[in-house]
Amino acid sequence: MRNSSRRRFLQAAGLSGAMLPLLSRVGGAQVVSAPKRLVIMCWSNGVRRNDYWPELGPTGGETDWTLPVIGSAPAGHSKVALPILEPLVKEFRNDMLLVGGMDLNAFFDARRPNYEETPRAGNAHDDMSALLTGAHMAQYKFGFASAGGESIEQFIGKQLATQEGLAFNSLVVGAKAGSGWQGTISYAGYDDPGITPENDPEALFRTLFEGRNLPKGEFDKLSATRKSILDLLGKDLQRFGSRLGTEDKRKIDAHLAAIRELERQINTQSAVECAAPSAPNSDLGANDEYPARVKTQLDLIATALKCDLTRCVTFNFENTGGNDLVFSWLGQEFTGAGDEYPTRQHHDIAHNFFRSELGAYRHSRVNQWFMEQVAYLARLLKSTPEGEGTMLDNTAIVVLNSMGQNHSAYGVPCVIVGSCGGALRTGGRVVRFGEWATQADRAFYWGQGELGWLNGEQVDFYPGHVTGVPHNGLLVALANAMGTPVPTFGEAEYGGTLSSLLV
Amino acid sequence: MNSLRMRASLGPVLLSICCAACTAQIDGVAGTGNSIGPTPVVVDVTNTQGGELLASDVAQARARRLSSREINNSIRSVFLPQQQTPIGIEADVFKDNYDNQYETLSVSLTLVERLQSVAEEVGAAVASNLGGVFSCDSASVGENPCAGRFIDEVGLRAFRRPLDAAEKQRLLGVYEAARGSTDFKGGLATVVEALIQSPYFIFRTELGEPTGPGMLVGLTSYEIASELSYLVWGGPPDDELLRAAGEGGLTTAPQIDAQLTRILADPRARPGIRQFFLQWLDLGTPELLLKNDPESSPDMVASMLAETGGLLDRAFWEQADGWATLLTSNSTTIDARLSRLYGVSADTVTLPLTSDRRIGVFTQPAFLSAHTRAEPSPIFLGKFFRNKVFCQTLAPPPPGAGVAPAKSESSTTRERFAQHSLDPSCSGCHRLMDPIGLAFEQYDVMGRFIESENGTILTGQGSLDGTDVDGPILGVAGLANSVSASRNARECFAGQMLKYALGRETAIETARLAEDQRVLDAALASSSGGTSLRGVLSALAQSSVFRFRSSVAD
Repeated sequence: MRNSSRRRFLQAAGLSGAMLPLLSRVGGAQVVSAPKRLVIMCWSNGVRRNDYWPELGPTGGETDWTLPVIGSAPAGHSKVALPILEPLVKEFRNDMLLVGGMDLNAFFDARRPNYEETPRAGNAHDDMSALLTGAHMAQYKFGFASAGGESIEQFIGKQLATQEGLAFNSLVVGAKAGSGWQGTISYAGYDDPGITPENDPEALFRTLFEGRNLPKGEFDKLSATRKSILDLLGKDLQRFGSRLGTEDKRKIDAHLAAIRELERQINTQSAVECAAPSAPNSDLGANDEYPARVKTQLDLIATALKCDLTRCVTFNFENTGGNDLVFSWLGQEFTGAGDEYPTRQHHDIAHNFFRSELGAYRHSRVNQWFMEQVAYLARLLKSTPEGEGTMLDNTAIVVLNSMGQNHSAYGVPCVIVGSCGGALRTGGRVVRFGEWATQADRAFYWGQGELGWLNGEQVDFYPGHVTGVPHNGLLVALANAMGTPVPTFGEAEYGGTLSSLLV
Repeated sequence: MNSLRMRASLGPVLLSICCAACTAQIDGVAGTGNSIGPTPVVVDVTNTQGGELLASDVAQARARRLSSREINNSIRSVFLPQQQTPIGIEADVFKDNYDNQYETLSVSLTLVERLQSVAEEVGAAVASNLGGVFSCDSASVGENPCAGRFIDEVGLRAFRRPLDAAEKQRLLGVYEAARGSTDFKGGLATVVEALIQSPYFIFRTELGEPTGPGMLVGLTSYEIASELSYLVWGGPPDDELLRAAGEGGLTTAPQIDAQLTRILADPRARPGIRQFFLQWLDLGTPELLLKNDPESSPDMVASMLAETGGLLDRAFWEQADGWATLLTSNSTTIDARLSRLYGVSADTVTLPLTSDRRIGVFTQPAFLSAHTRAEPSPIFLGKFFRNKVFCQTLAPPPPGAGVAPAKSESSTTRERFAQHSLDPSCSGCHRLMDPIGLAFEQYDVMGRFIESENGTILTGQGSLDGTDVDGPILGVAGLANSVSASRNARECFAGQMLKYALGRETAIETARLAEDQRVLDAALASSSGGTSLRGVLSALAQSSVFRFRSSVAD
């Protein structure tokens, strides 16, 4: 797919040169105030909490904290290897909001009669279909899940795209994230196995910008052909669905919704004027090209947001449990054979971080590198003035991990950068929900080593939260912040917004 | 009450050997065991008790989205028969290591966008080499009549059934709209784009003719044609299957068997049939066979899979008792690379096996390697036998059970996993897996035979529990011989093939299959000279569960 006919046409026409993005509309709704955007970035395999959580200061104030300092921990097994959040904190501290104490109850509490197995908090490899849906999976077994509802960015994105006449409901982007439960955090609705992220920068470019530089005649021709086919498909699907049962109909409805979205995109694209950046000329698919691929995808995302093609984006770096991605660019400690896998890939690193100081360093260095990528996107947005501030002010970059520390669905990390147009209370706050370990607990825990076995369960001895809150309140808060309020999201039993996140 | 109902009311059967911490249940259904040999018996709309086949005996009618493999094969077969470089969509998620399961196959916006892009690319490719799929002299015949013929001929192959007049008219409309701004070939390219994105291309139906809901309905001949071709070839029906279907010639068991025999003789059948076996054996993802070992490489993985593929072919195509060949073959065919793992000279091609070291598919490096990680894993091996050889389901591991006991210089795999039988929170499940897996202790992650580990002589002692062949086993040979003799395992094998054929969980269908005496006989035909794997496929294709559905809507 690297050489679609349309792409060749674009190149032949010599029209893919870089141009300045514009924010203007022709015939569409007028932009009255700067748009709010939501970008959810996710990776997997958890964080080493010693290296993740800030040291809280003596005042107990939400903004009184410092990064953990290497060597600051008492002697023993739990030294700080690297402050994971440093790349964000050093540049964006005042734009940040750290949220702790959230558990993925929607995953591990989930029970349905048709489940072949029972979800367990310790098997957080399977939780990505609950992460942004907040809903109990429609189907579940160890190694397969389908979503119990649509994910939050789909919910928000569809409303905003319709209201504002945007080209895309949302963008589902990845860098090395596969299909289904192990590769995506975005879901179209009940029983959807997942929206596959677009990992290929060339394909993402085509989706976003193909046709935008075509001469009007050519663009209209392409649009007309696509429209006539989509019209046919829509009619066929309606006819096709009429003889099918409930489960099949759901698939056909999803198919039809996708066709309608493509139709809407065509109609909207012709109403928006936005110049395309230059096209990537490689899919950047090799392992060592991964950093370049991430950067290219983030560039394209930032441009799509600047052009107001969409307001909602998910970006998933990798499969849950990682995959064969090797972080060779981080140094020789990251190459060679792993402890469990043929290579030192992310899953191998995460499974073995507690075995040695080097293991801890590797795990946290990888997390820190991902945070550097978040900082890259934040920098792109912050360097773009918008209204009286910058694009970052009008955006919420929500950074999630689908796991806590030990492959578990407890205490999932969450960092928000950007206040979403002033709707989120950032300002460098650390907000902790649930009940957290006391200083006395802490002294006890420090003595236990990093990770151990307790009553037959492998447990994380970092003095984190003791009891947490369902993470659904975060999803509700994001919907509210984006101006598409809901009382609850996903399973209603998990309650409404976490109001202390909002202004 | 027919016996299916009785059976259904008994199942699922809980294994009494399980402690509270773990249950395994048998999905399959024990058959009656009175083997009467593999003589084909035409069973039409009756069940094996001679009673009427009921709608509740068969699966619900539905539409199946093609898997990515099937879509890509269909694109190549219908539109690009001569194209070398593949054009297609990315792989879907697997379930139980099968790539064609109903639950995993939906249509997302990403897929629709990707299909649009692929369709445009294929449309352009077809237009640039129109003679590859279609011939019509537009100069003498006229463009519109040629376009009509294109829609009839290529549409039939793409939708795997004739287009009705309204469908043809709509596609002509797409052609004519495009023809206004492009040439004749460009107009046909647009038709190709429409065909590839159509639900009738990416879904195949199992609906039969329209009827009231809840009725027993036979699949149409065209639906059977697709069912057969995607099962055997992983691709769409050829012109001959479509012709036979057009004559209504795929409704009776003998008609189906005749076409099955024909398409099995086609070169496409060999890779197609291999797909089923590879996915059954968890070998569908070659990357998982790469290990921490100096000998490990993509080339070595290819050699391993070639060896196993060769045995699968032999068991399926050449042997009357293919089941025994698969499990207990005493020879193998290897290349120079594999000779290093077997410790024989590099020019060895056919290697006789001695059963104390090597036997059948379970001691082949591909199988051994696929069921380990960095270290040999009795767990993965045990789980495979429970799930896919005996069709039993195990509870998932509890929280925190992610890390295997650490490897050390002084312990053996058996000693490392002894913790599982000592700790009551582990033993409930692990007693169902580890004693099978430990029969494999004499092989390393690459599948080399090892006599000792850290100074301890390895014996391969294990045991089987909760099956019809319970008892101690010695090494993989002991296990393979037990499985070979097991009636449960052969029933399960037929059930796995059915799961692949129907693309869904098969508890009900397997029960029905077991009622179908012919399939049961084919699977259990040891008393009449062995179990032919090809015979199981043939019986399955003729069975009621393959040919009938219960309707869900008008």
